[in-house]
Amino acid sequence: MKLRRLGLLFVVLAMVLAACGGDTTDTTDTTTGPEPTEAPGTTGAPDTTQAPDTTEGDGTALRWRTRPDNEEEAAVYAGISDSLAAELGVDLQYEPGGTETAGYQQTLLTELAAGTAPDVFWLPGTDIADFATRGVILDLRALADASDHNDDDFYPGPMFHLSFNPDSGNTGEVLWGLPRDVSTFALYMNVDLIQEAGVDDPRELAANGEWTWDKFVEVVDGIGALGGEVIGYGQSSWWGPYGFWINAAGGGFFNSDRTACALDTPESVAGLSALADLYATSSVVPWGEDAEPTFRAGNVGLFQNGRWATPGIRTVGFDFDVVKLPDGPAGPSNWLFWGAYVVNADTADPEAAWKLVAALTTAEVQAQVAESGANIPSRVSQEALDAFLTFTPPENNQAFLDGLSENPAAEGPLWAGSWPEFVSVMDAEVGAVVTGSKSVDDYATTICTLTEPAFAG
Amino acid sequence: MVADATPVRSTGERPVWLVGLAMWQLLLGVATAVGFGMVASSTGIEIVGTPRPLTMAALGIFSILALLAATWIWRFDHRGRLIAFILNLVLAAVAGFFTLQAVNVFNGLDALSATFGDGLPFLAVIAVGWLLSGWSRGRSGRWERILLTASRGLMIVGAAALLLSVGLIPGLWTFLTRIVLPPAIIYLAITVFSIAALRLLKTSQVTKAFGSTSKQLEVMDGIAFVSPNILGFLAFLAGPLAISLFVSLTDWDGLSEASFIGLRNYIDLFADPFFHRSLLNILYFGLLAIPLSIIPALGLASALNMKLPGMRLFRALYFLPAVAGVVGVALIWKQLYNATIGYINYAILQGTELLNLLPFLDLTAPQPQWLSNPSTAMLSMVIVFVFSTIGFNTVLFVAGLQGVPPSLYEAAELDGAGIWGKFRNITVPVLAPTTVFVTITTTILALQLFSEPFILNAPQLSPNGPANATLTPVIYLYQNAFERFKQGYASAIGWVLFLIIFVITLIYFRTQREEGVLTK
Amino acid sequence: MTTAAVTARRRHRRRSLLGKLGIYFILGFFALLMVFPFVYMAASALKTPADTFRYPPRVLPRQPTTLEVNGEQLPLFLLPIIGIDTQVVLVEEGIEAGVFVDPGTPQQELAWPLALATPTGGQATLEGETVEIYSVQVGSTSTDLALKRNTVVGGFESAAGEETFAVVRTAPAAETVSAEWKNFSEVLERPAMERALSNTILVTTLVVAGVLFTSIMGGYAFARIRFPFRNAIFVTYLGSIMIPFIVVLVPLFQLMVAFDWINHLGVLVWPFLFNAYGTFLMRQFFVGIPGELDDSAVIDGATHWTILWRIYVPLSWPAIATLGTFSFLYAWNSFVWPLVAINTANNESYVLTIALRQLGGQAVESPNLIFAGIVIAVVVPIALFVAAQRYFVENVATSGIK
Repeated sequence: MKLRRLGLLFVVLAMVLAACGGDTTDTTDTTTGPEPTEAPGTTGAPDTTQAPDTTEGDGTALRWRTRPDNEEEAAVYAGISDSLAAELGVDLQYEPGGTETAGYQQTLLTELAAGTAPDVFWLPGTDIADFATRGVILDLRALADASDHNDDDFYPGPMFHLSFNPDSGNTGEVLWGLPRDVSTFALYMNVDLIQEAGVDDPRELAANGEWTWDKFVEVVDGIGALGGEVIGYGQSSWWGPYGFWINAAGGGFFNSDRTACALDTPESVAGLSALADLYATSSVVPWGEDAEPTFRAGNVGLFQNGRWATPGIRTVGFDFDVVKLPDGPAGPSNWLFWGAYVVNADTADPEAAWKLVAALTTAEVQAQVAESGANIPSRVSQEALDAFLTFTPPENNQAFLDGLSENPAAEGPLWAGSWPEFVSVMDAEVGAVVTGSKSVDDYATTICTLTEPAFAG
Repeated sequence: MVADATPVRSTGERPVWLVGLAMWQLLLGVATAVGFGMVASSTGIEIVGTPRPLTMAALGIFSILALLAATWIWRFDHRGRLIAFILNLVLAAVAGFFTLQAVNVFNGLDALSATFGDGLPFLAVIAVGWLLSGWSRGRSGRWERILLTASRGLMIVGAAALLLSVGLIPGLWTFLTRIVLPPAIIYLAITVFSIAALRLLKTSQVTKAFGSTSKQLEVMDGIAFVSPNILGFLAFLAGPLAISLFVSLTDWDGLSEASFIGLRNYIDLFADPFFHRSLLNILYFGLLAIPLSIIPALGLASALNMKLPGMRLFRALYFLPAVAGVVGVALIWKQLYNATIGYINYAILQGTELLNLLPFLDLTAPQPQWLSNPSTAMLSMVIVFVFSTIGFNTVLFVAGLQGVPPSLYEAAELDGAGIWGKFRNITVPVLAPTTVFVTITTTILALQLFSEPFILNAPQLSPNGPANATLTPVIYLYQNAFERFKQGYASAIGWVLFLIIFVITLIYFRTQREEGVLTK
Repeated sequence: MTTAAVTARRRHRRRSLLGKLGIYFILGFFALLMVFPFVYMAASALKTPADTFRYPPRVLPRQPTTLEVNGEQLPLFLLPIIGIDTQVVLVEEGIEAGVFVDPGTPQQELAWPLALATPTGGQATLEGETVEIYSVQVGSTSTDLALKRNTVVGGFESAAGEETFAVVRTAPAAETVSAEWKNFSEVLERPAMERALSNTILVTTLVVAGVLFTSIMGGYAFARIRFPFRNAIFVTYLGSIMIPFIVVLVPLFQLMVAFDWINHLGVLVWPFLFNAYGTFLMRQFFVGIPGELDDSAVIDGATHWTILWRIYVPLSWPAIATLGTFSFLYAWNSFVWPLVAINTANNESYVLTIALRQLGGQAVESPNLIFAGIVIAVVVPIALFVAAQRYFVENVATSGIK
């Protein structure tokens, strides 16, 4: 009896002790109680604040993070991390961030608030403004000028936003980061389905200049006619894919200086209307259902996505290729997507962080990444483009490069307001129109009033 | 426990332990008073914002009580003993907390979890040993002893192996190296002293000296026993609740300073179209889901109560969705809801084809896009919610029916009552209190809908669903707090929702009381 | 017994037999509805990815039967040759073909190589369009059919050397019911799944132990120890059950940030070691234990502590089992708090609910893996529930409803 109680006590104590074991895995070494943070409600014990991560070791250690689309991409970046660590002589720890669906940006913001964010991380182009205006990423202009960096080495679309100073409205004064790569959209095709359906091959139509929206609908209907689980067309329900339709009709999300909503212009509305018709009358993957797994299972004929999806799609079990997006009423159109490496404003070693960013965007590293099939290098170079064409499959890589030259709309943040707020309203309204629960006319009259709060800053 | 005794007071002669206790209380009183002064004048300790008046209040009250206790102990007044007990209990808890925090035991769970996987098989060994000991009780003498020793041996060996495999030795070392450093050693000292004081306060010699009655001793026991619950409640529930109320009156964003803005959040909420939409959605959801989760459960429970063979199996099957957890259930339904290859649409198709066999029918099967279509999106949530809840409610009703004597039913039968009559006149009134309970809990669950839309809409749609069809107040709260970093606004949403739930619950209670049901 | 009563009895017996059948039918129907998704889950956990995307969907997992040809495993198909379903292998792909129909029965389509079709020069109308008639040679017979559209077929050959043609995608594969058990090991190999499993066990064990300990102590105090304001405190404490978790979510989160517990596994354990409902449950149970037991123990000089653990606890195994099971289910299945408190990038501190949700997003191409993950997450609570069912179903509400 006494033994049992003693035994129990021993177990509890031992668990407590065991809990202290192996603490070298702890990244934050708080040996104190609650901190006197600005958080209300803390019973402040007056102690030291947290130090940012510095693991005891030789020299600098940096943590960096990207958001890989799939495991193959994560493996590529892990390999690059190892080779750069040797090259730069710093301790690099690569963290593959959550998937698209797991709130990559939100996690970063939470970590930035708690002081546990990585030193260098990748951000989608649209989020640069949000992070810059919160003051959580570093202005690299001074460090860049001191090195051999040149803004013109990179595509102008991304560099415009990366060097935009929201306070003065000028470009070139600041540098929020360097673009990792660029990407355009194309249509991934299930060639087997196209042949089985006996429709015209879109690649031939594109070569003949006949690849229009009407022809596109014909192909989609033809594939859909196969019935069963076969669907003609699929796209994701975020702003990239549906934005193409709006852009290709001559419209756009914003006016030319990106200070107001332009979704209610006749062209924008016409584009969205065409998309809604497509969903209503043709065989399309239901709005909101993930089209990629269905495409990879071989059940979808045409699938709109960016270049970054290529490494994942290479593993499908059918014959696939790509074709450029069909020409809209206003001619060919595409998105120029980009993301950038930025530096955490609280990093312990800004110089090392800048060096990492510069190293990650050299032509060699970019070529390495592009070779794995993902994305196009962000450095303007014919060599890079030529090399890109050789990274097959898909055979028709030219489709992506066509997108580069054919009037792409550069993805960009909303300096004049809050992009996340704008997008959440736009997503909901567009979804309502596409699924038929809201009429296009209602949408046209209300959309820009609904998105006004996003511009209030 | 000692019966009432005349207090023993040795005038002028105070035992050592009494002096020690009084000194300890005095020391505490003085120390906290000094702390109070330091915080008040911001010398040496820097606290800004709201914690400051709170800390000052806490230190001040503690100081006054400690000094009071010191004097009372000196005077052999029992109240001193009680106050000292409470103060030392709180101090032991707080100092103990700080000690463990300083030695990083709380977060050390991470390290334990890394090696815990290795220790799992030994946990199984312990479990086997425990089962064996329970099994051994029914056996005959010799076997009982053998099994008992075997089981004990197994448990000890298993425990030892478990602790070693999860890193007891390195943990011991880290613990020792950490605890000898200030501030850990200081906190530890305070904890040890307060625990010593507590033990001392409970000894019989103290009881004799103070002349405490058994009733007074019981009070101390009671406080000791409820302290884990109450302290935990204050720290992790009441405290945050109060903070939440305060935060809802600020514009805090979780990252920077908060500024007081009064009822601005609530006013904004009142005019917020998204919030309106979420309320509409949850109303639609509730009106469908709550009755559907309760009424069939009532019927099923009365059927189960017929005490036919196999009832236990049915009960177990009905409980299954509740046991499985919301994430698993939602992911399964996500596959079932797939408009193209999902089983539900396929079943509808097959069912329609079956119906079409009838010569005069020629229907086309509706193949709704369950999760993509704004008209069916919320309905999909209703179905999943009902699926998860109906079994649980059935089991609750069955338990409620357990107390009904079967003679009641037999009497009704002899009077010629049919199934429906029995149900209406016996089952329903008997179950009235259970029905209230079930309705309230189901309503509270339904109004807090979050996980189902969150999981079913991912990854393509936001949790709001197509055209905000599945936006619920809790989802809106989550988005404001953790995606838009408007924590003040989110707190306000929480309080408004709480108010709504509270009012609805009150209405339920009122209606039941009017029908004279709750007077049971 | 009067004749009327006898007749009433007989009528009642007849009615009751019918009634019983009716009851079983209703109960069975609902049970089927409840259980089908789980059966589907378990069966799909054993499928291959291709099988999960199949249409029409089937419950049982199937994989194609294969035949070894020249050292390779080739899938077998079941195609009709001269009306008899024969097992064939695919020998050629990408043959230019056409979809031929008889204009009289446009639903029946025949996909056949164009090489085996010769145009007759005739024409017909099909769905308002003019189409050409071909003489199509199938085996040894030729039929005149209209060409609906072009397509691509594959060439198949049976063991006997007979050949046939069909669209490869829709050619029915010869399949057998077969379980892909390696789905489970594959799911556990994914980053964080195995760790999530052991983390969940750890967290749940600690929470259950904590809740049991504090609830037993607290319940006993509220039931048996007299101290001032006891009832007021109890009612207030009980009232806290009504507070929805979301009201406390944000400030509790901030408190955890202040303690620096966020993103560490402990944050899922420490705030939840006490539970008002558990205390309430134990208190209700303890109140029902006769007080005379205390008195005799008091005379023997026992303290409250010994009375509690020596006398009350051994008498309360049903309530403890109930409480333990409920706490277990609550801790094992909790989703919202881990979602908020653990960062998505922190693989090492996952619990099963978030790992499962992550899997649901990452493994969209292989729903069979998602199902395997769900099976793993669900099998422990179900096993525990089945074992403890005996105890708690009677207890769960008898103490709560009053």
